[in-house]
Amino acid sequence: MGLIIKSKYFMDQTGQMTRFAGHLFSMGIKPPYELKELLAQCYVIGYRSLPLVGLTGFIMGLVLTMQLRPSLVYYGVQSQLPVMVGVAIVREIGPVITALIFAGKIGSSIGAELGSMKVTEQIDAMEVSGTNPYKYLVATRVVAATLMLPVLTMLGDAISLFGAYIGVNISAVTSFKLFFTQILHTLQFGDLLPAFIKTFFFGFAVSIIGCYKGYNSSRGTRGVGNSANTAVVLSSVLIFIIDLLAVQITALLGLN
Amino acid sequence: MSKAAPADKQSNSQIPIVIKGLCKDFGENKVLRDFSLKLNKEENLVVLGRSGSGKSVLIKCIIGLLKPDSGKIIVFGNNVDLLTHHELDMLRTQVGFLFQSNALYDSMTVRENLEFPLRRHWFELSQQEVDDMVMEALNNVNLGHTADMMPAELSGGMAKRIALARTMILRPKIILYDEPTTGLDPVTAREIEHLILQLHIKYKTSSIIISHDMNCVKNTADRVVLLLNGKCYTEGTFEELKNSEDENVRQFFE
Repeated sequence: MGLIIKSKYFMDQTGQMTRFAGHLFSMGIKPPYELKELLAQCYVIGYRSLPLVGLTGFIMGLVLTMQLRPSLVYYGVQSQLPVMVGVAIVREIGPVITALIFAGKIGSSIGAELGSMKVTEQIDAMEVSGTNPYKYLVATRVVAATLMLPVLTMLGDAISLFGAYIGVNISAVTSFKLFFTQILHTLQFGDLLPAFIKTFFFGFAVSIIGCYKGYNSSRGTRGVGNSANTAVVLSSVLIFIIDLLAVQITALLGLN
Repeated sequence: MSKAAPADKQSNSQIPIVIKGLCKDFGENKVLRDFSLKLNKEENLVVLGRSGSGKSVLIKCIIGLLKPDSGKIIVFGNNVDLLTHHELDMLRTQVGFLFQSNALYDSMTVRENLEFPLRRHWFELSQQEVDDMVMEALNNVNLGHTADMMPAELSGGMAKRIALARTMILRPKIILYDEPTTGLDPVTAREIEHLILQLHIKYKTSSIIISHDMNCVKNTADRVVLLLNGKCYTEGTFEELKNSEDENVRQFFE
């Protein structure tokens, strides 16, 4: 009985979230456009997330290299370290880790901000002042996040590869040019494009869940906390599901 | 065009608000049952009722924040339920709403709070005109010095007055007040009542005031409607209701 109720709740929530996302296409494409707010959100979501994404990317590249090195030395293929790290970061680890960091920072922030606005009637106030809160608050955040995450991922990947270069040079000396030439010679179109495209979906998923949870927040401050929390948990799970689907689709298209 | 029928519109276009047979349920809880009301031009109408009787639901239905289950709400001849999003947004510029919680945008300064509705609707205004209107609105509530403060820095009474200034900034013809004096000390409550009357005279607005603060009712009401069991139980002037022999009416005045 409990399982049926939970399944019903899950289906209900999924349906409502899909409808909520559907509004973006029905409302968001109609003028007037909130360009000023969109730019403000791009700044908040993109530019202000860069230090965190950069730092985590750098550490990720560094640690990954240091962890991989002993195994590769054992098999005598340490010369392949830049290639392995490069492909791993660009194809999988970079986009997924950046998206997870993004979900933690932006998903929770959107969920908490909109949740707080909802419970203090600020969203209602916006509505009664003749402003469509969905367009002003939701559409701008979703579009900004969808556009900014791919940019952040590219920058994060670059910083991560630099971290990997530092990692390689801790135990041995490799020139900057040689390290990156090895990586760039190995990476192919099929490595870059799917990894890049899926980040748009990650950005969309993180922001739409954050907005949905915040926009439908209730029960006071506890509700706001729950919104922020569930936004992060759900987006993190969805990032892995999208990633899994992306891998399957790329395999089907022969891009692997 | 999804508006009221022409005949209906013609007869009602001068009347700020007409409500006919309004019903609103929340599950099993029947909040409004066949509620009818008419707000006359430049009238201050107070809706009196117990907590949970549906007073706030009523004004949220009027402004379109809640959708009625049945019945008609006609604002300046427009059937609110049948308006498109855009038409409703346009209508809302003529109807101000003062929230019980004030609902100031807490990430914006007082000035930005007041500028927000202006920037959304009156695109043609220059920065100087916007500044002048903001200062006029703030001076109307005697808080000209708070323009650069954040809402968190304001006291309850100041926040209420700023919210009132924001409500008034688009010069609405109708104002809906949701318990404007609740949670305020008696002195501040009297100040808010005074401001309501002052702005009513200055801008010739029609208002619906939700309240159960009897001082507020006494000082602001031209007419009082008692909402009981989801219906308009009785109506009259404050004095008429105060002198009523009806037990349901008397309990509000004891």
